[in-house]
Amino acid sequence: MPADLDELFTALGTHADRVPLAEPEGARRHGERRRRRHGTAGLALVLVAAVAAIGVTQLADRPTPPAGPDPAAPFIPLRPAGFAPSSGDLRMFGTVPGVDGLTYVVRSTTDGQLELSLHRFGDATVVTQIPLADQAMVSEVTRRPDGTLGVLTELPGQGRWRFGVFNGSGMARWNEVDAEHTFATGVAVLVTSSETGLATALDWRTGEVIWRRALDTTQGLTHVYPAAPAPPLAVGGWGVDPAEHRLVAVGGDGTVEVIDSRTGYTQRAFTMERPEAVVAFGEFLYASIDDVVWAYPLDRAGEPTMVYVGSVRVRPCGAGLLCLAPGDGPTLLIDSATQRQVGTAPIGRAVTVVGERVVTDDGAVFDLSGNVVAAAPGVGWSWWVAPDRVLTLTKDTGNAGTVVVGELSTVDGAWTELGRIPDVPCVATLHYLVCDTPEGVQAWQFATG
Amino acid sequence: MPDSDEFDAFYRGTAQRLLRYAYGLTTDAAEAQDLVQEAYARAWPRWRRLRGYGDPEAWLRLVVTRLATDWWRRSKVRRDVAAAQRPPAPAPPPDENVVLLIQALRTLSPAHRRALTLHYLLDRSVAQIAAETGASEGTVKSWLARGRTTLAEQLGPYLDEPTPIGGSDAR
Repeated sequence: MPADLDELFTALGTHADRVPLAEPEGARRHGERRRRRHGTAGLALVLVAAVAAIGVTQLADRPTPPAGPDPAAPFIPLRPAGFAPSSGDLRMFGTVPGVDGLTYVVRSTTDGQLELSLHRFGDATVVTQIPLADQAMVSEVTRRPDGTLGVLTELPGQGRWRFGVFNGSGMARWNEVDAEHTFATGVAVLVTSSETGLATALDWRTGEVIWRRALDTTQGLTHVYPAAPAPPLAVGGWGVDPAEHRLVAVGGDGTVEVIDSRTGYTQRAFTMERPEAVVAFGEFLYASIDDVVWAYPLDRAGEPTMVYVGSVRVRPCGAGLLCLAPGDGPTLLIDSATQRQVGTAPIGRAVTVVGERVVTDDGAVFDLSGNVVAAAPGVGWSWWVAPDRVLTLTKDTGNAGTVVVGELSTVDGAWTELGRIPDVPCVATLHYLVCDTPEGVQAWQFATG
Repeated sequence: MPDSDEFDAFYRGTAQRLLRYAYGLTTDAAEAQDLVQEAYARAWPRWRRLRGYGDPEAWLRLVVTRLATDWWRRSKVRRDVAAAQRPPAPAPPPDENVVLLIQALRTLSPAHRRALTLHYLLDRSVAQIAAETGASEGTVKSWLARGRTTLAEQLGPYLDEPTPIGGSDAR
């Protein structure tokens, strides 16, 4: 029987009105079950470093990316690099495991020199790398069989130091330290213990204890999470001091303590509902609670702001920018100062935002509206080497075992092949690729200046 | 008034409208029942905060929208709702016109379907739809126009006259 759309929708509405609903107490019961389920499966205690990207910028003040390289100038091809003693200030640092069981410490200095140091970690397990800002650096946190936490420093004149992890009885017990979540605040290495409930800040130069305090262990301290710093903080993704020297401890019952990273003192405390995930970034703590992302102010008392409704992964991804990845749609770029959306990024890809450019972890470049600007051929890996340039490594589909190294301009989208290397683990500095090849550790230089 | 009584009254006053919305989005009565139950289940733990909102129904519609567009989450919702409570009685079978419209709605994009559902089933104006979705009024008009065009193409011989196309809000 012919009808018009109005009649059809009216019929649909009438039919929908005849669909029976459960009683409201059923919804309340279901809600109670959800709340209990999320409570037992949620976070126990999380210590999060509140990090500000270098210069939280408003949209109007977003810096223009610096001009890219002169397109007419010849590119610098990839070429084998020699090793030379460093003479300038330290700028970049990384490690690469060697096939010989050694771990190589790689340092790149401002004068473009590369230094490769050898360190034997045969009796210890490398737990994590902790880069620090500027000239400071910590190489790795190592776990030793004798129960000590070892931190290797590589500044001239600085030796290795170790921090013994002890429980109340004085016994060194390695398993107390959740070293995967040990992180640096710019002046200290922060270590927390799930068994003692203690958080300890260590001077990264000497290993001396700067401060130590107990955290609320009624909910079971288990992990310390540093807020992911907004890359690229400095090109290469170094960590920086937490914003306003703030650390954030979140209890399993939703209690929040904002802690001064310099002293360990509590600045303020408040309570929220049990979160499923938290990220501290800039002036806010972003908490995912029942599939709603809330922004809780850290610097003042106040009600939270609803940022997003839905299940998303939240992470800082640029200066003053948050990325909300829903998994079933484009990633939303949120200005952390206003909580307003300022752009989109491709679905399902990890991105970094610099200026007006969004770069995915496989070397594609988009504008803030999600339009493709450029893409390195193939699927691979990318690494910021300058505010306007991204180093890309992509598998050579025509030659298995080979990786194509390229340079992608985020300004004009030009991609240039720099050379090819074996498909092996590598770490990149501003000017070098250092790789663990079957023949030993090798380095290639890809830029000057 | 105890929180539970207040919540129950809110539920009874809004659930049928939310079900209309969920049905328009999912075109499946059983699924719509599940999504509505899940939305209120999420609302209850936060009822004290929600009841202070200017439009708590809009929050519920947002939850339903997110759930409706995420297949994985919809599957989980079904399991959770089934485990938590006795399911409501099944829906009566739809008549022929409803079946035709449902089949046509399933060919629409989620954005178009959402706009038409808010417009036709909840009597929302273009301005109200724009405010709820965060889109501009021009975009909403475009969604409605394109949605109507697509439905007209799908329903063709079953419509007694062409549906006007264009951007105006005729209702």
